Amino acid sequence: MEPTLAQLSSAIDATWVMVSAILVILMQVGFALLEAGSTRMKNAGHVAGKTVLTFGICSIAFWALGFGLTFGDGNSFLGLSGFFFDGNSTDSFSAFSAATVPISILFLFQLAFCAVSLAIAWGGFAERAKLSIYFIFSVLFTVLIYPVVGHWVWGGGWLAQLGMQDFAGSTVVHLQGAIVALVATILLKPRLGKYNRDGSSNLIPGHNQVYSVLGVLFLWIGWFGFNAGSTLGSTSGFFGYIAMTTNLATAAGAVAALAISWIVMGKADIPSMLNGVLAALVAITASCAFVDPWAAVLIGAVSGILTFYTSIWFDRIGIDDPIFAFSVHGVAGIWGTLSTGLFATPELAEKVGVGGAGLFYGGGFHQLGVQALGLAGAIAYVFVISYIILSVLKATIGLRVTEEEEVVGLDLSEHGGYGYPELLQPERVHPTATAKTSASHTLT
Amino acid sequence: MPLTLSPEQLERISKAESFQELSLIRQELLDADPLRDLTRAGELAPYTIVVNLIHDNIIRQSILLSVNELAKRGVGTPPVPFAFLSFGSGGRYEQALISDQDNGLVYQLPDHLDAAGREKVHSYFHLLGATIVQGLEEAGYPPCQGNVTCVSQKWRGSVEQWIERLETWATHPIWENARYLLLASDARVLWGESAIFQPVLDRFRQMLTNNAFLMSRLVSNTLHYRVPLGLFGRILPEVNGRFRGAINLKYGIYLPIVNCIRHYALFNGIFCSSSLERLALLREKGIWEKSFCDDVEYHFRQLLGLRLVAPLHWEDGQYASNSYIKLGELSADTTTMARTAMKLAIRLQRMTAKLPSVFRG
Repeated sequence: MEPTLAQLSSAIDATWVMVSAILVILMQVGFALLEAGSTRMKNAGHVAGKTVLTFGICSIAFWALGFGLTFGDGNSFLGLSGFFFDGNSTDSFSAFSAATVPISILFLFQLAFCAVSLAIAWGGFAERAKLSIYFIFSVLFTVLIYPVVGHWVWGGGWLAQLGMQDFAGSTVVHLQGAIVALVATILLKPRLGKYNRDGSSNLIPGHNQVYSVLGVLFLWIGWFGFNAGSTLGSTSGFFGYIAMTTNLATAAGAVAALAISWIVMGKADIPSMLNGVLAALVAITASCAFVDPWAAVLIGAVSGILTFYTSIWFDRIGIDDPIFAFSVHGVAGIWGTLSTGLFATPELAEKVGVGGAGLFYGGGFHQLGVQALGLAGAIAYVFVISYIILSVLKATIGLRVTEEEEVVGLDLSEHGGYGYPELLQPERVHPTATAKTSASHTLT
Repeated sequence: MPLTLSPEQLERISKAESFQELSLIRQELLDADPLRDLTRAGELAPYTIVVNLIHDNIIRQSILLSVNELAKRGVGTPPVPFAFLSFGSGGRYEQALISDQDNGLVYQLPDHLDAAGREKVHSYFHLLGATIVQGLEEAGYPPCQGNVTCVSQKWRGSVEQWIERLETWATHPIWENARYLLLASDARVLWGESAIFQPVLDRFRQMLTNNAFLMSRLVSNTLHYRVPLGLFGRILPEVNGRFRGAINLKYGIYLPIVNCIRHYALFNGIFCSSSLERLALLREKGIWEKSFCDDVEYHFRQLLGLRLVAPLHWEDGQYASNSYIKLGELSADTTTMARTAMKLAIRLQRMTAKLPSVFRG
C-alpha cells in the first residue's frame, strides 16, 4: 500500500525529531570535553567518565518516573501517570496530543533535555564531590527536581496555562541545572587552594583549552537539535528560522564576550569567549522561536557581556564555580527567559501558539510579568528542594571527598587509576632489575 | 632612616664571615618596612641607588667568601684572572629589594697552557661557580628560573669560549639564542677586571654592526610584552586571581621600556649596561631628542622607585610578587605617572618595531 501524504509528513517530522534527539545527546560529548578541559589533569578521567555514568542513571530514572512526572496527566503541579513508560501508549500524555511524532521518539528527545540539565548541575560539584553522590543525586534530580518545573511549563502545568514562553528551556533545562550547581558549590565550599587567607582568589586554570573549545563546538552543534528540534516537526519549515536565530545569537555572544574581555583585561581571553558562546546559546533557547533576527543578535551579545562580569563577580564573593555553571546557565537563563518578554513579536507568538507579544512589540508588561513570575517560581522551587536534598546528603553520607583524596585527585581516589597514567604515574625502569620488577609501577 | 649605607655598614659587609651573616645584613639593610608609608613614586626613586650599592657590596663579599671557601677546602686560589658578571637587573644597576641571581663568570686563559692545564682551570671555575651560586642563595638571592647562573656551563667560560658562544648565538638567532644575546648585552663586571670581558664586548659590537637581520631577531624577541593600557587610556588591572586589582609593573611597563632603550642603544653602537647610562648616551649622541630623553628618564626613575615597594603590597613578600603593584595603594599622581609611563612604553614599542627597517634603510 502506498503511504499517504499524512504518513510521509509524520515520517519526516519523526526523522527530524529523532535526529534532534541524537544531536541533544551529542551535547553530552560537549559537556564531557568542556568540563574535563576546564578542570585539572588529576581529575580528568573522573570528570569525563561520570558524564557517561550519570547519563545512564538519568535514562533509567527518567523512563521509570521522570517522564510520567513531567509530561504525564496529573494536576497543574505535577504529572501523575505514565510511569515505567511502555514506549507506545499515548493515553497518559495529553501534553503531546498535538504532536504527530511517535511518542517513543519524544521520550528520547525529552530524556536528552533532562540529561543536559543534569550535566549542567554537575558543574557545581566538579573536582571535589564523592562518586557516590553522582549515583544518588542523578536519581533524585531526575525524579524530584527536573520534572516539577518541566511539568509547570511544558507538561500543561500552571505556567503553561499562564502562557510562559520558554521554547526550548532556558528556565526548564538551563536555569534548573544552574541553580542546583549554585547550591552544590555553596554547600561543597571552594576547592582546596582556591582562596587565600586575605580572601583573594587563585586562578585554577583548566588543563586543556583545546578540549574546552571542542566541547563548546559540540554544544553549539548539538544546540541545533535542542532549539530547532523543539518544533517537534519539520514539515512547516519553522525549524530553519529557529536554527538561524540560534546561530545569530551564539555568534554575537562569542564576539561580544571576547571583545569585552579584551577591553576590560587587555587580553583576548579564550575561556571568556567560550562562556559567552554558551551564555548566548542558553539565552536564545527560550526566545529563539519568538524573536526577530536583530533581537537574537542583541540577546546573544548581552548574554556574552553579562556572563563575563558575573563570572568575575561570583569568583570575588567567594563562590567557587569551577565551570562557571551559574554564570553561564543561570544568569543567561534568567536573561533569556526575560528577553522573550521584551522582544517576542506578535506574529511569532501566534505562530508558536504560546503567550503574546513582548514589551517592545506592543504587548505591554503582561508577557514580561509572566516570564518573571515563571522565573521566580522555578528559582524558588529548585533552590529550596535542591538545598534540602543536598543538605540531607551532606549530613548523612557527606558530599565531599577528604582533603587527601582531593589533593591526590579524583581519578585515583574514586576510580583507582589516572586519566593520564603516563604523565602522572611514570614507569620507572631499573636497568639492573629483572623483567618482573621493571614492569612494576611506582607511584610518585 | 630607611635604606642607608654608611661606612660602618659597609665595613660590616666586608667583615662578614659567612653567607648566613650576609643574609642577616641584607635583610636588615634592605628592610622595606620604612618605605611602607611612601605611596608616591617620586619619594621612592632616590632609594634605588643605595639599594643597588647594598646588593653590589653583598654580592662582592659573597664572591670573596666563595673564593676563600675553595681555598679552605684545598681547591686552591683562582689560577687565572677572572671577572664576575651580573646580568639582568643587576647588570643594569636596577635591582629591586628582592632580587634573584642572573650571573656569569669569565676568565683569561694564558696562551701557553696545555689541554690538561686548561681542564684544571675550567674545573676550578666550575667549582667556584657552584660555590658562589649556593652562597648567594644562602645570602638571599634565589637562582633565576631560567638557570642564568655561573654554575651553568652556558654562563661560565674563558674569553675564547664566550666569544665562540656569542658567535654561535648570533649565527643562529632562534628565540632562545636571541634571548641569551640580550642577556649578555646587559652584562656588568661586578668583580674583577673589566678588561677581561672587553674583548667579548668588542666582538659583540662587531657582530651587531650592520647586521640588520640579527637586530630584527633581537627586537622581535621582546615586543610580545603587553602594556596593560586599554581604550581611552584606562589602566587594565588583573580582574581575578591572586593579583586582582594589580598591574604587572615588571612585564607591563618597566621591561618594555628597558628593552626599547637597550635596542636603540645596541643599534647605535652604545655598549653600556645601565638603562639610564644608555639613555644619557642616546641624548648625548642626538639619537633621541633631549626633551624625549628627559621624559623617558623621569618616568623610568619613578618606575624604579615603584619597584621597591611592590613586595610590600603582598603578604607573602615572595620574588614572584615583586612584579605586581596594587593600584589602590598608589597616590593619585603616581597612578597618573604610571599611566603616562605606559603610554610612553607603547610609543617606544612602536618606535622599536620600526627600528630594523629604518636601520636596513
